[in-house]
Amino acid sequence: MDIAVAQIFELSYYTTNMAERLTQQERPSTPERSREEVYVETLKLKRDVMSSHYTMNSLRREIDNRIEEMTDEQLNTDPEVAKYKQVSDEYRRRKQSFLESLEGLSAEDKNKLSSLTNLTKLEVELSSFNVLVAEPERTETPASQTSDRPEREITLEEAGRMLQISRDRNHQLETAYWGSKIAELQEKQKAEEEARRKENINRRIKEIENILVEKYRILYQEVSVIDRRSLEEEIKKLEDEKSRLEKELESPEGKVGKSWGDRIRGVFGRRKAEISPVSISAEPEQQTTTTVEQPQAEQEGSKRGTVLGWLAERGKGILSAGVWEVRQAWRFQRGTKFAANDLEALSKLVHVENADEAQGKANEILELMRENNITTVTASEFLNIANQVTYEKAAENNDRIDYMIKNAMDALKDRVAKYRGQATAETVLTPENLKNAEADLRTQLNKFRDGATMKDVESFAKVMRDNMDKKWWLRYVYAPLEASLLGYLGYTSYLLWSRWFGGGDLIPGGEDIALSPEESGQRYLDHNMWEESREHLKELGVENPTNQEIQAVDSAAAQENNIRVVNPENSQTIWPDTAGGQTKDISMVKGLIKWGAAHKAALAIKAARLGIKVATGF
Amino acid sequence: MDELNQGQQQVADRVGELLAESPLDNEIKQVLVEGVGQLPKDLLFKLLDVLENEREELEKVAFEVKLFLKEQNNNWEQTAKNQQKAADTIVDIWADKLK
Repeated sequence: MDIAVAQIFELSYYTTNMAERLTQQERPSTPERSREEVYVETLKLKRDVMSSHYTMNSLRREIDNRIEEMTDEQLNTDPEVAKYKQVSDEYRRRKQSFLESLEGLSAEDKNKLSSLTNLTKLEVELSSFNVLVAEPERTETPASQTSDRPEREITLEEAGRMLQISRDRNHQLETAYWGSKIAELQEKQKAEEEARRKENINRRIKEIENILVEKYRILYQEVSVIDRRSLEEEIKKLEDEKSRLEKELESPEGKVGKSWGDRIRGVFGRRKAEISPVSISAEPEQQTTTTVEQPQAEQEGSKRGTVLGWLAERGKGILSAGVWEVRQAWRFQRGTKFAANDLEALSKLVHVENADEAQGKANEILELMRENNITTVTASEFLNIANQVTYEKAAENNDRIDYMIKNAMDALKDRVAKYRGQATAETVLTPENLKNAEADLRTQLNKFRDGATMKDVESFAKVMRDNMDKKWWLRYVYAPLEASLLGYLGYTSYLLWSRWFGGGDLIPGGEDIALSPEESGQRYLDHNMWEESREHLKELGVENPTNQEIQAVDSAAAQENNIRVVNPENSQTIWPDTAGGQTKDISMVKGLIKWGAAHKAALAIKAARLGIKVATGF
Repeated sequence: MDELNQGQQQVADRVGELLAESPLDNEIKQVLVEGVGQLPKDLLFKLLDVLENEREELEKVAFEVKLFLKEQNNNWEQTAKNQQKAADTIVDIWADKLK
């Protein structure tokens, strides 16, 4: 394991330095790098991320088996826990480098990259650019004895070997397991072969179309009537081949189909019924109710629990901060400051005496949020979470403080009495002196409690930072879903997705993670609306937008901004649906305009394009 | 349509189960589960990859919360010890002052 960690850090040193070099030196010369170079670089960074992800998960599983039984002392000294933290830090650095590099890719390359959902696919892609595929980082944890990859990435050959070993050892359960794993992998292989076959068909259709364009041109422009026959026959053959291939594409072969659909729906329904909804709220008075699945399993023992259920129960409000709760933050509750009642709540949390002190602590918490890139919750929501995280412990400590003060005051009285004798002791143990001593004790002990409270909040902020980065969930975890699946299922699903994941940047000064103005419903108009609409579509990766598509976006923006689109020559309204507008589009000046509806229209176009692309391969 | 073989059943069961447990928005899950039959099979496996990856990320979150809770206990235990030491020192100071 030490070798593994050494390898990780060797690689991490390389990656970190590379990232630094990228930041300090290579960034300015980015325009000189070709599109392919940037793509390959991002591929390598994604491979690094996945690779340390797997190492970290192996360590996590190993520690997770015994964490509940670990004493405090063991936790502090456990070498695996220390390694986990090191690997986890490295993982976070790699994630950041990858996300930064991803920003430099075209929409098409981003989609291509997001479809590489496992290490094997990534390595195949890398090898197509003649990039040496590095040996995976090795771990020696029991869970990964079969392979360096996570179980879901085991290849058919590896599974075959495991089946043979299980048979040789006469392990019946293992044999059955590997048998079914092989059946599953064979299904996956068939599906991928079918996808490749369809891709080849699409490529051939495109080729034929290009040849036909040229043949028809020759036929109508260059060939005399006498020479036409052979060319016409050639064209007919090509047309026949094209139509045969198109029919082949339309066949249900390779689709999931009804039997699969029924089975998936059945299991989905049953599992959903097993896990009942539970309400989580950040604060009882201020309901930000979140429905998450809570397992009844733990009580009944017959049903398996869910990670989400555990988090709901023990996660200390992390669910309210979770990516799946971005919707909550998105409901225009863009609180970037603490309100008066928040400051009051804060005063209770860290027991500050006055408004200035409360404001100071509030600034400290805002700074903590900013440093940790916490953007999915508002400041007051974060305060609620902080409260949940630390309230119980702080209250417990208050009881201890009372107990300590009582003992300390008794000890003080005893010692003074011992020095002075009972009679004279009472002359100095006046109510005022006793009150001052007690106040002194309380002030000092409270400082420790408040320090521990802030430490809790800070540590929890780090957990949130490492796990709740919206960019990460959106651009890595869910990217393939967005890029292909939802587009394939139509733009309604895509819009649902876009709406769900459309949370904004809620922390002031977080420019580096700020959403584009379009995503927050505005756009800076520095051309006319037609040009803005065309540009916006291009920015979303809609290449060569048609006039109809541009008009759809332009019209949505015009209606939202109460603008009438007119013919500049005669001031007649061109688009009837904008007739009610007050301002003429020709009199628009540069500046921010509402762009929510236009963005939605543009997303629908993108989704429709994605759907077509996935369906046809183009 | 033919019956599903063992491998197909396993994949279907895993997708159904992970989707039910996913923290994705219910409307999106509904769209996926209703439209799953129309998907090309390679996209179904892509969905499985996404859901498995999501599960791993969630397990990581849960683990790090567990780790945090353990360390939080340590933090507060240590705080109580430090408070006791501070209380003893303050008593010493006041005892000196009043003797």
